[in-house]
Parts: sequence; C-alpha cells; structure tokens
Amino acid sequence: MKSKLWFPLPLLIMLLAFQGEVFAQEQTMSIVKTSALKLIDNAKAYDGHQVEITGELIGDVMVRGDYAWISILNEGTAISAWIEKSMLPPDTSIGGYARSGDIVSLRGIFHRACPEHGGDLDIHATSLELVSKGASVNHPVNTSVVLISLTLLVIGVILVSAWRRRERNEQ
Amino acid sequence: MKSSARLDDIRIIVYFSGKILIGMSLIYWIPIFTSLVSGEYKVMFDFILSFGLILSVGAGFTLLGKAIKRPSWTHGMVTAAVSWIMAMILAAFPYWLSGHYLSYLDCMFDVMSGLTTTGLVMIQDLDHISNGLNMWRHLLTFVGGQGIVVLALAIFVDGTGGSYGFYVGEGKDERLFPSVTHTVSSIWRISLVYLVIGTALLWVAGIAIGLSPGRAFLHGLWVYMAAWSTGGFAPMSQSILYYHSALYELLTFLFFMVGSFNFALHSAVIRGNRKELFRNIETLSFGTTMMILSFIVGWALMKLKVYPGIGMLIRKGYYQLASAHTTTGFMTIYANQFANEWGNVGLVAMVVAMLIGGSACSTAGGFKGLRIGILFKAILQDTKRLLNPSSAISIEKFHYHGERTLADQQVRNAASIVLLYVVMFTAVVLATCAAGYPIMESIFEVASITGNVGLTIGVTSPSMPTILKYIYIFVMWAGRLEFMAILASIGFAASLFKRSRR
Repeated sequence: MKSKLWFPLPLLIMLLAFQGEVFAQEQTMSIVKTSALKLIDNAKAYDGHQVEITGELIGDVMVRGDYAWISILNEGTAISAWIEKSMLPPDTSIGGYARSGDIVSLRGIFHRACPEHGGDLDIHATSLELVSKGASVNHPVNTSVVLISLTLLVIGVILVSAWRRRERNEQ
Repeated sequence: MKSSARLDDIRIIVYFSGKILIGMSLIYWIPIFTSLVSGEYKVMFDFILSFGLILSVGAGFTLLGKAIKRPSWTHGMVTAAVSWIMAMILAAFPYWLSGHYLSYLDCMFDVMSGLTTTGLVMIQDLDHISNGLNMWRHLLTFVGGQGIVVLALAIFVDGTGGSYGFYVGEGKDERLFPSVTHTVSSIWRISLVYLVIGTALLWVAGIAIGLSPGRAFLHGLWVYMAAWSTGGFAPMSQSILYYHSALYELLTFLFFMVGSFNFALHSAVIRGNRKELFRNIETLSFGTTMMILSFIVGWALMKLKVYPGIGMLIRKGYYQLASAHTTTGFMTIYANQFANEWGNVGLVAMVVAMLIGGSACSTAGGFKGLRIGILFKAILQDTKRLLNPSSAISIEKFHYHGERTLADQQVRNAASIVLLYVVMFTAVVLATCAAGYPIMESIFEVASITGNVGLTIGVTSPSMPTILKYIYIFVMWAGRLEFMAILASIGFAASLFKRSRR
C-alpha cells in the first residue's frame, strides 16, 4: 500500500518541475510593457525578462562597432539600451535642447546587472519601432529679457565705474 | 561710539562681499560665450541679464560699504559666509529664467549644491537643458571647489589686506606659500593645468566611446570640472552610467581621487617631493579607511550576490565607494538601486565613507582625513599613556608636510569640528525622519548632504518638504565652510542684536 502511494510522487514532482519550467519560460518569453522607473525599482523581478518601453530618444547615439548605446527617456526617467546599429531608424532625431527626439517603442531583455557590460542596468534591444518623429524646438528670445539685460548692464557698468573712481580718489 | 564701530564693521563686510560678487560676475562670460557658440540666443540673454544683476548688486555693495580699516579675522569669516549666501541667491537667476525649476528655492538649492560641490539636484528634465545652462552648472561646481572667495582674492590681489581671514572663512587653512595671494593664485594655477589635461583626456575618451567630437569636448570639460571639484554634477541624468564605458569610469575615478587631495600635497608633488604622497597623514588615513570600507562593501555585496562577478563588483561597488569617500557623488547605478539592492551593511559603509570625506584644503567635503588621522594618533597616544608608567613621557608624531609633534590644541580643533559635524548630522537625520522618510534612507541622504557628497538614495527631490530643502541648504553651506564662518557670523549677528537692545 505504501509503495503504491509513493509511486506517483516522483511523477508529480517531475510534473511540477516541468510546469515550473514552462511557467518560467512563459515569464521570459512574454513581453512586459512597463516604465523605466518600474524596471529600476523592481530590477530583481524584471531581471532577464523581455520588456517593452516607450519613450523619447535623448542624448547621443554612441556607436560601438556594430552596436550602439542609446538612451530612452520614459516618464522622466532615462534608461539605456544596447542595440544593433542596423535597428536604428535612418535620420534618427535625438532629443536635447534644440530638438525633441523620436518617440520609439523598444523591446528587449532587461538586465539588472548586465554581465556583458560590467554590471550596468540596461536593456538589450531585440526590436525598435518608431512611434513618432522628433522635431526641432524653437526657443524664441524674450524681448523684455533683452531690454532688462541691457538696462542692468548699463546700471552695472555705471556703478562699477563709480566704485573705481572712488577707489582712485581715495588712493 | 560702539555702535559706530559696529557700523564700520558692517561697511567692511558689505564692501568685501561686493568685491567677491564682482569677482564672481566675471565667470558669467563663459556660459554667455557657450550659448553664443551653440546658437542658444535665449539662454545667452538670460545670462547677460543675470550678469548685469550680479554686477549691479556687487558694485552697489562696494559703494555702500567701505574698507575703513584693514579687515580682521572676524570680518573675513563673516564676509565669506555672507558672500556665499548672496552668491547663492544671485547665481540662481539663470536657473530660474531657464524654466527648468519648479520654484526659486529649488534654483537656490542647486546653486548651493554646485558651489559646495555637493551635486544633488532639483532640476527638471536635465536631459533637455541647453549647453549654456550645463556649462553654468559645472562652472559653479568648479569655482565652488576652489572657492568663490579664493577666486576674488586671486583677481583683487592688490587691494585686499588681511586676506587670511577670508581664505580661512571659506574652509581652507593651508598656506601653500607664506603669502595668501600667492597661495590662491597657486591653487588656481594647479586647477587650470589639471583642467586642460583632464579635459583633453576625457575628450579623446569621449570620441573613442562614440560621442561626436563637439559633444565629447563639452562632456569632457563638464565631467572633468565635476570630477576635479569632487562635485558630482553630470551633463545627463544617468550620471556616469550614461557613458557605459570602463575607460570613462577609470578616468573619472582618477580625476576625483586626485581632486580630493590637499592642494598643498599637489604643490609638494609638483615641486618634486613625491615621497610626501606616501608619508602624508592624510593620504595614509584615506588609504586606510578606503581599504577597510572596501572590504566591508565587498563582503556585503558578495553576501547579497548583488554583482555576480569580481569585475562587476569593482566597477560598481568600489566606484560608488570611492565616489562617496572622495565626496564626489558620481554614480554608475541608479539611486533606487542603493536602497533596493545594497543592504544595510553596504549602506552603512557608504555613510561612513561620506562622513569622513577627502583631504583638508582640497575640493572635498566631510570630516577630512587629516582630522581622522589626528584623532587616531591622539587615541594611540592616550592608550600608550595608560599602558606606560606615569613617569613616562609619550610623544606622538605625524608627517604632514614635514614631521610634526601632536599637540593638544590640534586634537582639540579636530575633535571640535568632527563633533560639530556629528551633531549636525544627527539633528538633520532626525528632521528627515520626522518628515516621514525611513531611517536608513535618511541616514544615507543626510551623510551625503553633510559631507557635500551628492550620492542620493532618492530623498532629495523637488517634491520633498520645503522646510527640508532649507535645512539641506544650510547643511551644505555649513559643511562646506566648516562651521567657523557660520559661527563667526552668528556671533557677529548676536553682538549686533545685543547692542541694538541696549
């Protein structure tokens, strides 16, 4: 009786183990749409998972051989991705002071401490989709700022001259 | 009679504060030029307006005040404290005009953070700011590292008698040469020579890691200025992680290590006395604490399996530790990773590193290695006295630009400053906890603020309570000026108040 009871146990264990593997595979294979901040805050939970984030390309495209580092600004937090150069859209617009960057949707594998890149927190991109193109940003000169600038400049020069004159007289 | 003497004191302080502001106004031309070259005309006019403002206020002060007599020690101390506050208020104007801040208080916080070489920020959308504004941020930290009073003393060499009080008021007490003017010009010469070398190296490294030549130059210049001044500002919100480069990390590591050394040590090494580097009590003290804390951080990170390889442990663990110990604040991990991944032992080691800080008369903050070395020697001497017969005379010596005998006065001075730091640290930790932040995070953040470090665990943000912003500004200011100027100012203000009541 006892042996009969024990008989299905290894099978059960194997089944559970197998189920666990399937679950783990599903976890790895399924793509989690998330934000940069959630990735950083839950880095251990997301480590090694396929993720998708959408945001603005900012800063620089730092080309390293066939690959490049890009940065994506998502909800105020920037995160870097290691991407094949060929995946980047032609005429990429990178966000900065004078331009808004392309809005892209990036999919890839998230690393809490990437073994390939010295422990950096990064995403290894598997695909990049352009959502919308960036454009130049106009920063018009404010006329009142110009007028106040010139006025203060004149006042400053007059006061400095008065101070220097007083110094000379006292000497 | 006495009230007229006090009025004379005020006029002297106002006069020299004005001179310091005029000296500081000259650096506005660097972001003006940067904006012009970058085609950022709106930013250029923001800086011209701010230049006009500081020049007018500075010149107005010099006219209102007068150098009636040779400035005393107290005048120097109070002037240093006052001019730092005035500089904070006025240098915040370009920040305010940029539209990247939620309030003027946030602007002043960032100026104080820059001038004190702390490196914590309140700025919004850092990744979209202009070259002119980025130049201003890093310039403030570079000038602040050397000292705005040191800058003014270097410019107005001819007209400032009794300048040692001003110099000491800014938290520096080491004379590289007998004359203060010679000392301050030497500090600037050393800094500018390193600036050229450091920028050139980071420029080449920037091009090698994929930045365009123009961006590589600007990033090289800014990152160098922040590294040398142990400031911790970076052009991008991801700090040094942005570059994903071991070469960039290595170079910044070297620069902030060198920046945390005493200017007198630089001067000695440049003059050929390389032995000083290995015998000086400060470098020995720094080396010892760094080694002990490296072991603790390494053990803590390995135990928690934070980084799966020794290479990663060095690049992440030791880089952050060295950044903390030199009070730089560069990061190659995100702020939240400290709280979520490093564990309490690792964080406590970082707190100790941040509180100890770098060398005296350097750009670094904290208690300073010299004081830790002196206190250690004092404990050693006391232990020897206990063990030896009462008739035995115990003399403790240490090497600090020559052999020196440990004197009780030195121990007392070192202990007073360390005690003031500890009292302030404890009080501000309590204030941060009272504002609702967890204890470990409060300890970490306040250690960073007290030591003028700039590493963050996420407490410092535009959404933090306003009262905490004021407290942190005060702590950065007091920590940078090493209390003496603040205490002198409080004493001076109290004496004015006392007389007005009589």
